[in-house]
Order: sequence, then C-alpha cells, then structure tokens
Amino acid sequence: MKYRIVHTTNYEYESTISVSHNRVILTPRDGAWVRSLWHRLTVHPAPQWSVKRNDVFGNLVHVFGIEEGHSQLTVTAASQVEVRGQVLLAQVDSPAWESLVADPTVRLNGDHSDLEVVPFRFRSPRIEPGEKFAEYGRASFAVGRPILQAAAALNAQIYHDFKYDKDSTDAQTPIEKAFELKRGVCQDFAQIQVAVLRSLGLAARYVSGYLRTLPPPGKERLVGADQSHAWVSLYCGRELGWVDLDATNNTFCGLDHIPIAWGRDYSDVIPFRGVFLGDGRHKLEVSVDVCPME
Amino acid sequence: MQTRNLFEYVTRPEGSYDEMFDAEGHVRENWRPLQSELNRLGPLELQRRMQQADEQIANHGVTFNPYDLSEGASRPWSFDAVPVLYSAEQWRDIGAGLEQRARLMELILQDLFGPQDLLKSGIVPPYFLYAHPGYQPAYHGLARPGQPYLTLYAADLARDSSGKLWVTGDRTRAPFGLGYVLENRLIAANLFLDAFQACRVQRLASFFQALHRTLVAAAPQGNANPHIVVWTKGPGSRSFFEDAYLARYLGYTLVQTDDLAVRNNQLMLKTLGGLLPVDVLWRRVNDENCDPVELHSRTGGVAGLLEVLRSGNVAIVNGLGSRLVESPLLAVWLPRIAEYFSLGPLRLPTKPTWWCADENSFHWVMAHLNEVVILPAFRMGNVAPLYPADMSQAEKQALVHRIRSQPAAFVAQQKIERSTTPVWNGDHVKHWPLALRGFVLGSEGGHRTLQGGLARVAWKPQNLDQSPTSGEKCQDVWIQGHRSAPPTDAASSTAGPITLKRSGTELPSRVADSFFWLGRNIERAEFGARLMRIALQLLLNEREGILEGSRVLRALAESGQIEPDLIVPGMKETLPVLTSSLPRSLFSDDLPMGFRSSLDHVIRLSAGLRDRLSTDSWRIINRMDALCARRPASDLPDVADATELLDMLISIMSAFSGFVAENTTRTLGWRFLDLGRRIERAQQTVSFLEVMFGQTNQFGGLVIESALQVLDSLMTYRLRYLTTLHPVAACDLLLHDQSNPRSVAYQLDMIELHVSHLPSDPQQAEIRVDQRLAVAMKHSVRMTSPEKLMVTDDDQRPELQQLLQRLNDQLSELSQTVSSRYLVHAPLQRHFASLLAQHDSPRSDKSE
Repeated sequence: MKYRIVHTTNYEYESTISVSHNRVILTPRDGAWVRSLWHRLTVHPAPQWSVKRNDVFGNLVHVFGIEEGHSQLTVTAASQVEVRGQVLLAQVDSPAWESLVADPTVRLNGDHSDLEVVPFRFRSPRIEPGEKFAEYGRASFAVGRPILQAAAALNAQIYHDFKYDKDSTDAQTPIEKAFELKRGVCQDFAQIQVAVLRSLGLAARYVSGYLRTLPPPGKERLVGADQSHAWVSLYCGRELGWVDLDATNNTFCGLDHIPIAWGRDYSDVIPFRGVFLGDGRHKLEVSVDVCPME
Repeated sequence: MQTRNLFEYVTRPEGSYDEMFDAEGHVRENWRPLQSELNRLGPLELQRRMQQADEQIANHGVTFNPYDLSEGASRPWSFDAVPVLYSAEQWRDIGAGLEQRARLMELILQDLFGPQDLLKSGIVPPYFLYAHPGYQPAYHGLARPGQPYLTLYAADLARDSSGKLWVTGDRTRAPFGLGYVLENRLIAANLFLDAFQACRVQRLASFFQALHRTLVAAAPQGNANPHIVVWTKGPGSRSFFEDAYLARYLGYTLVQTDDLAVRNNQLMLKTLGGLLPVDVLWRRVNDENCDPVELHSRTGGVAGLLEVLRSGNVAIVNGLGSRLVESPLLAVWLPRIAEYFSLGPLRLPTKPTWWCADENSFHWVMAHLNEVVILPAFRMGNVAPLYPADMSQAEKQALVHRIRSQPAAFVAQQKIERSTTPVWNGDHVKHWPLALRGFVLGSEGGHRTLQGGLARVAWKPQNLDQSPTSGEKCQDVWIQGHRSAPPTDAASSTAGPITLKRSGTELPSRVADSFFWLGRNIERAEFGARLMRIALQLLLNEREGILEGSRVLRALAESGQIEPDLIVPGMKETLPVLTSSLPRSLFSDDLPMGFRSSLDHVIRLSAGLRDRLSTDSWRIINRMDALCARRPASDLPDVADATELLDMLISIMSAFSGFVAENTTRTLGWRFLDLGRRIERAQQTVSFLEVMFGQTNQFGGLVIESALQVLDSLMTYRLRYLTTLHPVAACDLLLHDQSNPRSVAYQLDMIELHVSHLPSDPQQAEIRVDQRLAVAMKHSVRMTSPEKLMVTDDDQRPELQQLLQRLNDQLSELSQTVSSRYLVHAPLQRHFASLLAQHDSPRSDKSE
C-alpha cells in the first residue's frame, strides 16, 4: 500500500516573535515493513539555519532557527511511503513470553545485538515501571503463554478497560493518572502499555506515526481530517524482532499504520518542540492528510 | 621569649591515624617547620592572626551572604589557619592515584556514550547507564573527537587507621572547591610565611595556567584568543561565590543562563553592544539544565545549545553526561574496568561497595548492616549516607524494607574511617577528622594533579560525609617540594601581543540591569534615611505641631518610608506612637519602598555583581547590612539612637558614592549605576518638592528649612541668603541651580549626559526616545523661572505642581524606555504548548 501524507502545523502568534528555535520529528522512517519513498519538509518563513540528523534511536530530526520577526510559522511535512504490513502475526507461533524477560540488573553475556533492545527495558522520563503495572498485565500474560498471544490479549484488555476520552488527559498527563482514570487517548494507552510490558520484564518502545482513517460508509474522504497516532512495539525475540501493536484499535499494526519515530516514550519522539522569544499567546492548527496513492 | 608547646594538650583517640603525629606521638618530619612556627608565635599571636584572617575573608566578601534568610547560599565553612601538610613523596603517590582515576572515568564516559564495549563485554550491566535518572539519549554523539569529557575531575579522600587512602566519592560534573583552594592559600600563606617558605610549598598558579591553556586550546577553529565564559547557576546557588571568584581570577566573563542565546547555530552572549560569540563554556550548571529543547528536564537552559555542541561551534567543560560516573554504584565494577582498560590495579580504590541488586551482596549487606553506610546507587544531588549502626531497631527495619523493595536503587559502602589533623580552637590545637579533596586537570596532552587541595574538617567525622560541602571548617593543603617553587603570576600572562581594550559594550545586559537598579536602590535608601533623620530631629523638638507643620511626615509616607496611616489628622495624639513607630519603620520588611527593602535590594543586586564591585564597595555594603540587621521589637533603637544610626548610615552611603565616583572606571556599568541614581534622585526630589511646596501653609519658614536640610542644601543656602528663608530662593537652589549636586536641574543634566553615551544602533539616524525625553526634561526646567513657579493661587502653586507632575511622569517613562531598550534584553523564553492535538487519534471505524 502506498500513501501520500501531508502533515501541516501552523502557529499564529498574537504578537511578533523575534526568534524561535525548533526541533521537529516529522519524517516517516523505514522499518521492517515500511519504506519511505520521498519526503520534504517545508518551513515558512524560511529558517536562517537548519540541521538534519538522526537521533540515537535512528529517528530523523530536523532542527531549525528562525531569527527574523515573524507572526506565523508553518511547517509542512510531505511524504510518500510504502507499507507492506506485518506478517499475519495472529497465526504465528511464538516463544513463551518468559523466555524474553531479562533481569535488567544483570550484565549482558556477550550477546551484542541485545544493545538494540536494552534501552527499552528501563524506566524513562514518562514511564516508571512498577508492580501495579505488572499486576495489571498478568491477566494477559499467563504463565507459559506464547508472547504474541499474550501481547494480543493485553491489547484487547486495554482496549476494553480504557475509555477513549479526549478531554480527560492532555499531553502532560502522567500515565499514572490515565491508568487510574482508565481514560485517555492513544498516547496514554501506548505509554501505559509500554509501562505494563516493561514492568513484566519485557522490552517495549513507544511509536509515533500516522493512521489512515476510513470515511464512514457512503461518505467522501475528508482531506486533512486524519490524525497522528501512537502505538507500541514489543520485542519478541531474535526471530520475530519488534512487533507493533495498536491498543487504541485493538489490533496488530497493519497496512494503515505508518511509523514516524520510536523512542522510550512520548518525550523521545515529540513531533514539535520549540522555544520562542516573545509574548506567549498563540493559536495552533494541525492537519494531517493520509491519502492512498493507488 | 617564653615559648609554649601548643600541642601539649593533644589527646588522640587510640587506633586512629593522625596526619601530624605518628603512632608514638612524635611529630612527623615534614610537619616540623610548621610546628615550630606555631609554637614560636604562641597562642595570643596566633589568635590575633586568626582574627586578621577572618577580617580578610570578610573583605573578600566571602562571608557575605546575600540570602541570609534562605539556606545554603553562604560560604559553607569557616576558615582554619592550620594547613594540612603532605610531603613531595606522599603527594606524588596521591597524584598518581588521582590521575589514574581521572583517566579511568574519562575512558568510561567515552565508552558509555560511544562504542559501549563495557556493556557488550558484560563488565558493566546496561542498568548502570539506562536506569540512571540523569541519563539522556541526547548525550550520545555530543563529544568532539579529542575533547575530553573531564577537563576537571575531583575525588574525595579519607585515610583509614592504617594510613591507607580511600576514595569516598568522585566528582565529574563541575567539581566544587577550586575557588576556595585559591582563597585559602592566599590567606594561609601570609599567616605563616616562615613555615610556608621552610616547607617549600608548591604553588597553585601553574595548575590554573594549565587550566587556562586547556580552555583556550578547547576553543573551536583554533581561535587563539577565545571568549571563555563561566556559566553560573546564579547568586542563589551554593557555588556562586566560587564561580565569581574563579571568573575574576582567570579573567573570564561570568554569565547566567539568561545572558546566553543561540543564533545561527552559534552560542552568543547578550551584551549592550549586541550579541558576542562564545567559544568556550565552562559550565557550573547541571547537565540536564543545559538545553530545554533537547533535554528532558524542562528547567531552563539555552535553547539550541546541544545542536551548537554537535556542530562543534562551542566547547563545553565538562562534557554533558559527565555526572553519570559520579554514581556510587560504579565502584562495584571499577577494579574490573581498570583492568579492562589496562590501567592496572587502582592506586586509590573506592571504599568496598556492594550493590544490593546482587543477591550475594544483598545477603552480605544484611548480615553486616552495622559495618556499612547505605547510599543511593545513582547520585543526582547531595544525599547524605545512612548509618544503620546509629539507627534504632525500628528505623533499621524500615530501611531493610526499603532496600528489599528496591534493591537495585541502593549500594552499601564500607564505613568511612578518617584520619585526624590539627585544628586551631582559639587557645590550643585540637585534632579533628579530615576529608581531603584533590583536583585533576584533564587535557588532550594528559592529566595533571593540583599541587594542593581542599581540606574539610569537623569535630564529628560523620559531618564530613553528608555532602562535599559539609564540615565546619576548611584548611589549606600544603604540598612540600624538594626545592622552593619559583613564584609565578596568577591567571594568564602570555608573551604574545594583546589587543588593548577600553570600556566595552560587551557588558551583559543583565549586569547593566543590576547596576541600574543598584543605583536606584542605593539612592532610594539614602533619600529615605535623610528624610527620616529630619523627621526624628523634629520629633525631638518639643514645639507643638512642628512635625505636622513641616510636612516631612507626609513626604515620608509619600516616598513609602512609613505606613500612610501614621499621618492621619489629629497628630497630637499619635505623637507617642510616632516615637516608637518611626524608628521601627527603618527595619520594617513590610514597606516595599522602605529603607530596609531598598537595602535588601542593594544587597541582592550587589551579590549578583560580586565579580564587578571592588572589595571596598563590598565592605561598605556589608557594614550597612550589619548596622541594619533585623532585630526583635524589644531591641529597637529609641529616637536618639536611631538618629545616631542614621548619621552613621548616611555617611557610609556617602562613602559608597565616593568610591563609586573615584574608583570605578567609566565603563557602561558605571554609567548605568549612575543613571539609576540620578533618575531615582530626580524622581524623589521632584515628588518631595511637590509635597513640600505644592501648597503653602503657616509654617512656611519651617518647611523651607526642612526641605533644604533633607536635600543637604542648607549650608549653601545660608551662605547665599543668610537667615532669610524665602521660597523663591529655595526653589531656585533646589530645582534650577545646575551647580547644586542635589538640585533637580543637576540630575537632569547628568541624565542627559549619560543617556547620550548609551550605545546606539549605528544604522539608526534619528534621535532615540530616551534622548528626546532627557533633553525635554532638562529644557522644561530651564525654561521656567522660580518666581513664576512660586506664584500662589489660593494656597496652591499650580505652575509648580504642573511642572513637577510632568517631570515625574517623564522620569518614569525614561526609566521604562531605558529598561526596555537596554536592560530587559532578555524577554522570557516560552515553550510551545505540547501538542496533544497531534497525538490523539480516534478509534478508526473499521476495527469496531
């Protein structure tokens, strides 16, 4: 499946901003089942300087500074990607989940490839693993259960236990609160899922990306009405590698999921981070359009 | 002369090691010159010299504490004159051990943020890196090839009863203490000059010269004359004194976060003249507070700094991420790591350390709780170790429970034993436990130990373990040489050419701001004191109605020096109240514009300008603070005492003005200070004149006399007009006379002069708003005549009121214009609101 994606972020400030310094992560990244075909990031007004580089997780980061007075900032990320989708994981045999648990305090025993996995076993700025998350997860992670089955069960568990509610949390809400409320949005669900998996001793990362949404039956597709999305990636051993699951939609990621970046939690992959000098009042508009190219 | 052995009273605990005496109680060979000098001087002379030293410290502004009501900002220790001595051989060994550790820590950091061989080969578990609360992914890939992480490294040492030295902690972020080492030396060397020479004490200066060379070499693009700044946390922080001291000693600019900005991927210092590039950043702030855009703690920093670092456009010392190896947990693997890097066995090992996450270690620790101290595995700040041996059974159980629930978060370290060293107690020598800090400079060329150190002493050894700044006193550390070291000059002296500079516009805007408000507040305090003095004199005068008639009370209330409700009508009854409330107002915190508040501002602002004010100015500010120390209500001065106090304060403040006038170079800093003063004096005088002369009353003569007195112009007036008190003459002298340094006209002349010297944008041809205002005010006074102004209409003087009112408004406007143009150069940084909108996606229809 090929997509053309246009993601526009528009800031309008009430007064003129003299300087702004921004760091954006808006470029879809290649993965086992995704290939980025083309990408262009446009910034208006034109920045005085910009740098492009990969962060330690391999995500593509753009940093730029605008040092002339401006009262509007528009960043447009346009991409073309090809999604092959994950293999039909529900039917795949997988090892017992316990075989993938590692005591994080123990030294590695010469297995170098583990270094790709280990950073995702630990606490991170927004995720503090703990017994309450582990306990929640044990309902799905029964003893000896194959990891894909257990992971799918946790996906369903979160899907059923948590209510999707835009107004109950915001981007700064600690996951403990969303966990208590049993409410939130995809970001909360994904971070809670990561917390549960890490608390059980597994390696899990947070993925930000796009989700193609289908128009209601009989309606035209609305341009710009798609959304950024978030899900998790779970390490399932050398053979299966990282497997992506979307608890918000109770599914393994398929042809509709387009990853942009992954990290330990939301804070590693914040799409737009910036600091500006000037009056703080501003208006923000974001539009995402995920359009199949066939 | 009779000499007495000061050391005869010594009693030493059995089985401990003393730095000065051997096990048989004999003075160690290398301490003899010091012992004989101390004995020769005798207790009285020693005590006298100690007091001298204390004064010297006070004069350095060291004891000066800008936040005496808050905690922690003051000098952490008092100074003890007796130094700690190490022979050349002893220090050679210690130095070799310190350098080995510095090298080791450097290699560990390079590996953890680089190839991670230590993790891959199973020597260090990944937990050490990734579970550290200070770990940030952004630290990977920041280091520049060839640029070490640890330009400065420090280790804390303790000696056990057998004489063996152990490391109790490593400091790798921004080791504290070098400023104090310098200052201790300055004082101790002078106190015992003979012993200092006889001991052939090694100099400190060469270390700092090497540090300077290292920082210069670190500058990007081989800039031979780089701009080096010391980035301090600010005057509220514990290390501020030291930051300022080091900056001044080495000739670097002291900056705070708000002084810095990134433009075009280059680090800049905001100055009055615009933005100046910074080449080397010696940071004293925490790693995670360096860049709010890239690092996870959103507590300040310079947006974009990390990108500048990656581009190699600035060098940072010490490298970001350095603090990770301060963790006590690292000690568990240190010997194996040293072996791995082929550095041989550790010459200075850490105290044996056990990680509670390891099962065997855990059981050992539980069985030997009384022999260990418990520490957090990761060091993020100063956390005092816990001593299970000193705990009650219940406390111990609670601790065991905590460890059991989170074993990986704790390490146990063998209890620290310490040697003792002589300390002067005012009469004889006592022996206190010692903590020694050594410093190592790391550069591309290799490592080098400071020939000296910081010694902390406390009567109770555990007081030294609490934090690197705990302990009661600090001492100088003398490293003896085989030959006396040739004296060397301080900071940097190079043979190369130097570009001569005159007052620069490179003054940071924040500094200019502090100078401006320092000027305003000193003036406000002085004006308040003068008003109050006259009020008290009138209060002592028994003639009825005189105080009320003089209007001075109203002027006091008007300028915020007293509570306004003290001037209600029917003053007669309130007179007894006034005798106690007027002196009280001097010390009152509740009056935001009052004397005490102004003085507090003076103290706070001068603290921020510590590196730019002379020692003499310091002494004066210190003395004012001491005279006006807050005191209990029972201890408030009566009217007569208060008058005396005010006399003293006013002469001290005049002395400060004198120092500033005579001893400050006419740089922009001085100009802002004086501009602040002039604006404040003009404004105070203008509103004072309005209160005094805006209306007439039957006490005309008294009002004139009081006004002349407050404005320090009575003498001049008498010389001109003898005893005739005429309002027009007074108005001329106080408002129009440009030769009277207290007149409004004089202030306006000075204001115009200062404003015309402020930096201009060369591309802007038109005259600036601040200049226009200054000229307008000057002329508006000149164009009026005293006779006309003093014309009365009923009991009002409308012309005068109008002029003064307009001047008042224009002065406020000028102050604001100057502020927004030059001073508040740094509008607040704002973060984009976090974008929830980008990350909330509804459930898609199909999966329902």
